[in-house]
Amino acid sequence: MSQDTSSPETDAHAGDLFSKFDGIIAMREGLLSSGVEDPFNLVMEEVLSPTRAICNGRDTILLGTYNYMGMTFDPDVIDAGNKAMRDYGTGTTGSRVLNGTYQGHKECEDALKEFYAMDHAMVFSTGYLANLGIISTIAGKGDYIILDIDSHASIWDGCAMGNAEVVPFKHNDIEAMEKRLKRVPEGAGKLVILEGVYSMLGDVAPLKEMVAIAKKYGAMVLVDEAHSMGFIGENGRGVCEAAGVIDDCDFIIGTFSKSVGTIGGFCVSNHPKFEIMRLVCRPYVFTASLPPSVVATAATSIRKLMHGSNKRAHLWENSRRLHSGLSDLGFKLGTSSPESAIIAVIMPDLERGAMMWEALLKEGLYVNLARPPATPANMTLLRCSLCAEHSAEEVETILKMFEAAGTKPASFLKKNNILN
Amino acid sequence: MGWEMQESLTTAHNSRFSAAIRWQTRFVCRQFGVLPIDKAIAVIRELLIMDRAAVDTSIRSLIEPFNKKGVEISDATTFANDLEFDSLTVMDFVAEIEDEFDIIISMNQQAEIENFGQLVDAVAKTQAD
Repeated sequence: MSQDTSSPETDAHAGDLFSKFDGIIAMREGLLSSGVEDPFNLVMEEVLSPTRAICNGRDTILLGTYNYMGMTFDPDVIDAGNKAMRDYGTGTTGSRVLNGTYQGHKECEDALKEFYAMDHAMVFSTGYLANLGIISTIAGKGDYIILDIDSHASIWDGCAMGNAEVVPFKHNDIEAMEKRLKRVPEGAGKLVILEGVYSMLGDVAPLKEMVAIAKKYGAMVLVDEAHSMGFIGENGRGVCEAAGVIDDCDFIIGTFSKSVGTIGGFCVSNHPKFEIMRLVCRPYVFTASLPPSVVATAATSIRKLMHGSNKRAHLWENSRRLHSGLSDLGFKLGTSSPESAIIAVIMPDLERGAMMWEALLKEGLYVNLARPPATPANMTLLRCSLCAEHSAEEVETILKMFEAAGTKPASFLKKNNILN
Repeated sequence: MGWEMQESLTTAHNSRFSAAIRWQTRFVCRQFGVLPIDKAIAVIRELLIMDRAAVDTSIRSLIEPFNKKGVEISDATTFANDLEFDSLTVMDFVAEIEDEFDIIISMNQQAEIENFGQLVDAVAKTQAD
């Protein structure tokens, strides 16, 4: 049902199109007036490595970058990018379907096809555009999209841009999904949209059961594996590979801005008619293609990720250690066991979440402060994402920082309900 | 004329009307036997109005656990302002209605529904379609 966001004061300055943002302006001002550093305006003056940067003047451990495999400073990847920029220039200045497809774009798509062992790969300028484009294009008028309520904004925006009927179900609820599939009118096209790892709490979808049910009702399945590429599944293809259902996934959406370490998005598929997407998908056609350096770094990084099993194992060790360490310190976490490289620490509210975020930053640790409406159940989260380049010692240092930040204003956090 | 009436009532009977309206259709058949077609349509229209009342009653009871402040419900009661439903409450409430009536209320339909009366209309219509 439609949410009315206007406030009673709106009438006072009728005509100002910005009045609708008064609520969020007040929220931000209230937060900053309490004296905390602005959590949404952090500047990294220098980046020293995938895990360290100078933030607001302080040497800081990065624990909120999604740089899971630490590829951003890989020497081979940097060399490939440098070479492509020298050979092909700084940008393509054109759409993929006009002057914007270089050798590098084809090589990047070849690397993806090999990585996923799929017939087709299509590279978009961002992961957001990949979801926006594929979803809005394949699900048309009269079709039904059945999707998890905690889906990423790019998935929701893809639904909003298309003309299909949009039917959400409760997060990770297999039964709720099946009920909705069962009620879709006979003959209507059906697209089920799931994510491998949900980025807010770092929890994993029961893809084995859900994909089987989607197939039982004749639905096509799209899985967003943005937060699992490179380290979940035997070949790093994601939760769908780990769950043994990758062959039943019609479309896998992913991004270069996490494990791959640059920017860009993609869709891989075995659908025999998939290539037509290049002509009909507007967010692919009507935007400039990625710069040559970016697709060169992506292709090199993807090929290196195929052989990243040692790094994967270390990343999982880091995730397990951080999860158990934070649990032992008494923090409330988003999952009862580590399911991915995201560990979410649940805060009682935004104000206290921002205080804890700032205390951590002063200790020299950067995490993401996530707040409603991006979060499920209106939670405020301190979201930690681990990197394969975090050393075991660094993870211990991180835990000490949480301990220090959590105890510094004596008993403040216990009193304020941040600790159990 | 007679067979037309029979046919329209049979159509009503076989369509995806609620149990209440199917029962009422049988009742009317037994009561009136053969009717001219315009009369038959009037009877069915009447039944649809009665069906809306049944939907109203049902949704009124489903809304109770979500109506935390005990707001009095009328057709004009809005979900966002009067009942202060947030998006999560909307999802849970819609799921309850969908399960009760075995229907889908897509987000596209939800976007058109602001108050209780519109919701009852939408559900009654989905039932009758």
